[in-house]
Amino acid sequence: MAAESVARKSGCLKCHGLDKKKDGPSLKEIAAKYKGKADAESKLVTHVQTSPKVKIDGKEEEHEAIKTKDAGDVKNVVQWILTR
Amino acid sequence: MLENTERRVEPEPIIKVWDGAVRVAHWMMVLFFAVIYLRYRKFPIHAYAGYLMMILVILRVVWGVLGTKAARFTSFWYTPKQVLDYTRRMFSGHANYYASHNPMGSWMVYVLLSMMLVNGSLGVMLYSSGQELGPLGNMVPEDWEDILKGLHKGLGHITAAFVAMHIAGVIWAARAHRENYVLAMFTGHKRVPRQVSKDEIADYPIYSEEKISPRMRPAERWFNYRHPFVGSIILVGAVLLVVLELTEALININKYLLSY
Repeated sequence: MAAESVARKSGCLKCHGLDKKKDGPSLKEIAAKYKGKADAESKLVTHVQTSPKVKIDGKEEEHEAIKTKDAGDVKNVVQWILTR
Repeated sequence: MLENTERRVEPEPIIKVWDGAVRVAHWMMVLFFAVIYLRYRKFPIHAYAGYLMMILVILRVVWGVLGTKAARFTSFWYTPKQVLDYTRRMFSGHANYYASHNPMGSWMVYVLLSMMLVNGSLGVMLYSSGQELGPLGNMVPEDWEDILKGLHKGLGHITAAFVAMHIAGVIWAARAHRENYVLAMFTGHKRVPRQVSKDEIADYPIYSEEKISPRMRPAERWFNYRHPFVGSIILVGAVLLVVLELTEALININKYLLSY
């Protein structure tokens, strides 16, 4: 519950529905994509903290960063995503 | 053609119209709308600016009942017939003087205040439906998200169209009435042309010209007496520049804001 709350407070659910694709892939889709991959956690931790460029409706934008500096919280959120 | 040579000879009386609350609230709404609409993808600042806008609108409605003369809705309550009549007079170059909002302006006030409340409410519902955030928490069903989003976005664009019409209308009215409407919303006072009947301005305090600081008098003369139309265009341009800068500055704090 704590991880979900951190994710909501960071506004993640604006673009990533739990099951629903919005501006970005659904969390379910992301979990499926990274299932079984060894580097899943490190890739996602990097993704949510470094604001890489992503394509939304053909337009390129910076991915919003997770709104916590606590490494433990970030890891928890990523693990939560990977288990959707 | 654009200069009021007649008014240079003898300045007309000035009346105090817009009180501080109306003026401050107006320009805050301008800033909030810029943040809300021009950078609508930025969350949660979009939501927070929306809440602040709705609070301001509600306060304005209360003020419209309890406030000063010019601010009260009773001072600018016009029927469709009166609006049409006013429009015809404007086109024929004989616009009447109104101390408070003129008939077209009054309708714009009601339209904009309503749209902010309606669309703000839709936004609050959408926030709950789409992300379980905001004052409605998880009360609004997830299935409603797509419909609410379409409505909220559509009404947002319509509101922006009305805002654009409002700006154009203010500039047009400045030309037709030869008054600098934009300046009046900053200073709160308006010139009264000589031929205006005493009844129209009876309830408004006379604003002594001595109250205008000597440093500002040349600017007042230029923007309000000699070039109200061009002056209003210049002020709109200046406001847009300042508002755009402030919007960008405010957007920078978005990354530090948590969504509730």
